[in-house]
Amino acid sequence: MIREFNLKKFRGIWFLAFVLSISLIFWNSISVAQPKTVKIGGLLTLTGSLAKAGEEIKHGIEMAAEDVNKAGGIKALGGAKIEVVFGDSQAKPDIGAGEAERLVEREKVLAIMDQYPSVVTLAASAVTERLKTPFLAPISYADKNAERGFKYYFQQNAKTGSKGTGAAWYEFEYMEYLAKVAGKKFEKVAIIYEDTDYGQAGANGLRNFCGEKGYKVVEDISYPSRTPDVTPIISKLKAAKPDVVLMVSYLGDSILIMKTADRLGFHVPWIDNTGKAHSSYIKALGEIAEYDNVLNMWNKDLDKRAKELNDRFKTKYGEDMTGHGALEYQAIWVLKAAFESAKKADREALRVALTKVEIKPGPDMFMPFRFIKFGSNGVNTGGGFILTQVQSGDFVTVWPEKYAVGKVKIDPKWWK
Amino acid sequence: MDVAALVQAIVTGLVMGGIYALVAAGLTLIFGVMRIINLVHGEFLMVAMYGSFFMNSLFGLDPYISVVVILPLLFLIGSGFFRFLISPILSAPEINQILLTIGASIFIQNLALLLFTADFRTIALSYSRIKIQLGPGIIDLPQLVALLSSILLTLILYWLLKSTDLGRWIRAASQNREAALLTGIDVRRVYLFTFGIGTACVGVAGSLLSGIYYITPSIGWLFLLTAFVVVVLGGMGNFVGALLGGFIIALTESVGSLFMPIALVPVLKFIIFIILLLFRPQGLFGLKRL
Amino acid sequence: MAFFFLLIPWLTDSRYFLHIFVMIFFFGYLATCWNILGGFAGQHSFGHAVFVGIGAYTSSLLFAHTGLSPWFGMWIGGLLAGLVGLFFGFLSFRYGLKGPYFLLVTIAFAEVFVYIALNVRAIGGSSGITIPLAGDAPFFFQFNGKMPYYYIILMMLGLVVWISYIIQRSRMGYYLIAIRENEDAAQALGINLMRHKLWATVISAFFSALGGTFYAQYILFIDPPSILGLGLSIEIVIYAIVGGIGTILGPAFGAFLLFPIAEVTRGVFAGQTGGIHLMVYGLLLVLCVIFMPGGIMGRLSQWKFLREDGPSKR
Repeated sequence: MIREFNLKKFRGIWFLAFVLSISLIFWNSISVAQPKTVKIGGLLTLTGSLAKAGEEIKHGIEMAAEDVNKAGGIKALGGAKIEVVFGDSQAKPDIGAGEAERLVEREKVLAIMDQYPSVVTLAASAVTERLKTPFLAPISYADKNAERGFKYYFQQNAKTGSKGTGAAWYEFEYMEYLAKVAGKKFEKVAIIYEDTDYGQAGANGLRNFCGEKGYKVVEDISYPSRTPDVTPIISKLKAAKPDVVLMVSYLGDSILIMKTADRLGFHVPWIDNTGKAHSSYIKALGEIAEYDNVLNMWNKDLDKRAKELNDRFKTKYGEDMTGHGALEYQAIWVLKAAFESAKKADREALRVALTKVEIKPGPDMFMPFRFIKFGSNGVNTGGGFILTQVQSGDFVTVWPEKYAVGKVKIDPKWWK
Repeated sequence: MDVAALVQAIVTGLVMGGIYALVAAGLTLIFGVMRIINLVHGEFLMVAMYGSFFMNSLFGLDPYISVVVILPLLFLIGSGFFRFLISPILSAPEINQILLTIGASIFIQNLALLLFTADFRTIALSYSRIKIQLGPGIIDLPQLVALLSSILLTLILYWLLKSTDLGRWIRAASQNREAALLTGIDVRRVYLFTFGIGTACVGVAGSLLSGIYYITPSIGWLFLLTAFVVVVLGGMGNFVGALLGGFIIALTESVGSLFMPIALVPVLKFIIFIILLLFRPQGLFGLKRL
Repeated sequence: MAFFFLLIPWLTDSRYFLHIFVMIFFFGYLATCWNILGGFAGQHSFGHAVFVGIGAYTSSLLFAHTGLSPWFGMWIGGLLAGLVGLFFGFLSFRYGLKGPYFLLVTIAFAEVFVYIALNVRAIGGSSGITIPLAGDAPFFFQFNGKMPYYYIILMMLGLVVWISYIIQRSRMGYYLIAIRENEDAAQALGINLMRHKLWATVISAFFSALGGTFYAQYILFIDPPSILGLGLSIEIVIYAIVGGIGTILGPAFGAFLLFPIAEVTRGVFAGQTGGIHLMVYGLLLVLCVIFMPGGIMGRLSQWKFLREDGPSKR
């Protein structure tokens, strides 16, 4: 009485499956080989809530490839041009992993550069490690990435919590510098951070450094990064009366937080990791953004070359280059240098070259770094950050003194 | 316990409640009348916010003025969406309808990404920083306007449903579709209007929120889930319920933040949601089981 | 014909290509598991990722902290997921949650899990869990090549399809369909609603969790949004419905159709201004719902030379 399961009746379905599989096989074997170009994969978040960042970074990479190619390409490979093929990780680790496979296998890229979030970096670099393809992470500085003993993983920035080199370290050091400039002793510190890896890793670093130097952390608040209301955070801060707030946030939440802080009349110096390092932050907040202290990897006022770079970028893409864009721009030049020394368009040769490459301040160095040289765990320890302050509606580099273009300004409203 | 913080939390809670209710108003109408879990609602909110933004950046119109344009625009979009996409599958299983709204949501969000890029847009209004002090609690003008508009919208919708012909037809169609048909009501047309009005409501929400939040293609999802909680809390189809529901949820969140880690506060509304659904799905103010 | 699938890994040495198939089978697997509760019993869960995540987290945590092979850990994960399903199913069904209300409560339930997982550092918090690399270690459910994964997930898919078939032609399947079509009538006929719905839930949850372990061992990294989140839950539902809810092969077919399309469109469009590939995907979903209300299986069953056994529409 119960229905029969008759395989023959499903002939059609199997036929369909067969057709689909065959077409996939054929599609897969069509690959395009371009002579005289070196293909690099760019794994970015081009859709979803991080789409904005992805787009800017894409522009940074594209401009870098153009600049390298215009300057004659990779001379050791007969002037071969760099061609970047992009993949969209949609900020998801499994899609990121899949895209990494696609880029290496179908597009036959010689190396992959990525963006963030670090969960995608983790998943995608695990794939490239298995596929023996160099993976360069120009931005990621979350803690875990470099602890896996990988041979094909290279990271341009130190871990955020690394003393002396990490983002959290720079954020912390600037706080002490600011205290000196303001002539005020900071005793009470508040740390607020969004709840993903970026926020938590940064906060860990900050907490450690504050603890070591004896600062009292009066508020330690983790908040969900996609939240429509941040008033409770500011309320708590107001009640705790810190001398300074250290934050690790993304752009969207930063906008809401600073607006709310202004609304509630909470005025102390804010030092942010890199979330606010974007022109749309200033556009969104207008006056409110004045005196804000924002960590960055690069700024257009650093030197003449930076300004020229930014002018070109702005003309092409209609907005300022971001620090992240600059890091990716730099990474292309790192790859170029590696190819020059590898003398072969081959993944293994590239990997070896990357372990040896050393870029010092000079024509190939665009960042305020001491050097770029990847250590045995793939991490570059010569990186560094700068601190920019929003002055008169623009980001001005104010620290470290070596790179400072302007002076730190003290907001008269602070601590009132 | 810090009294000032508590007062601030209450004041903020009221404002956020108003905001939630603004988004939920249209949703409760659609969900209440047609039982459609409309997951594209958030995208319409986003569309309205972008509309408001462009009215401002291209024509210099204040969002409180351009709402006059946004409202009918969103009504048309909503009705059109219903007419061409939902109506054909009205008799299909509910799950199919939900899937359609999901597909539409993905499409619209990425269309916005394509057209507008992911740039965070904001509208700067000359009066956005005017603060209103309620004791130790502070809110700013756009927030207050949002709250008052929410109350106003609720009253208008309540009146609409109670005292107009259309309102009666809507109520009839939502209570018993077959019976409504039998009494000569063009149920499909009623649904069309319902969807249109519901979308127009979220259009108003978008206009009012465009001065408070940043605008980006994915902004709709910031409010959508909470809006559903509010809808169920207030009782499907019950506007006053949605307003009160909004207050309850928002106050729970803002006062709750004073006593628990902020990162866990979103869990509160979901727990409330679960308890509601289990023990009182008609909401606090809804009628007996549907 | 099924032999064809067994041969594919030998026809190509493209890792990417095998990866696509692994993912197709994986999502087909999850969709088929979902279908037991959502298709047969008609209870549409939008929070099924919770079960997947419980499986993934359990086996991974056990492996990372105690060295227990995921081959064993996965059964524990399955058991745990089954218990969670039992608990949550009991609550929901006891209080008569149906249709959209059930759907909403599953979303809420899953979101609570996500937030808790994000904030409990002991299970990784927002950094998730990186499954310790063991290289080529079959005993620990890890392989360097793709082929083993391919066959494992293919077998798992075959298993749950077979289980679906068994259920459907069993008395329980009969009852589940009755419950789905008209609960009150079914109850009037003396069918124990709670028992059958719970069984469907537990079975569905158990196998979903096994899939979670597979994912963890394949991708080697899990975190709350990717393995517990609403995105995954919705994705599973999409495959099941587009393929044909309530059918045996439908869900797998949904994955077979949609996943490659998503991959190909991403490959073609990702480089351009963002979003086009997702626009295509969204549009496709809309078109599927409008023109294929019974899913792929529903459409196929209208062709004379094959007929789907069992209900192809709700």
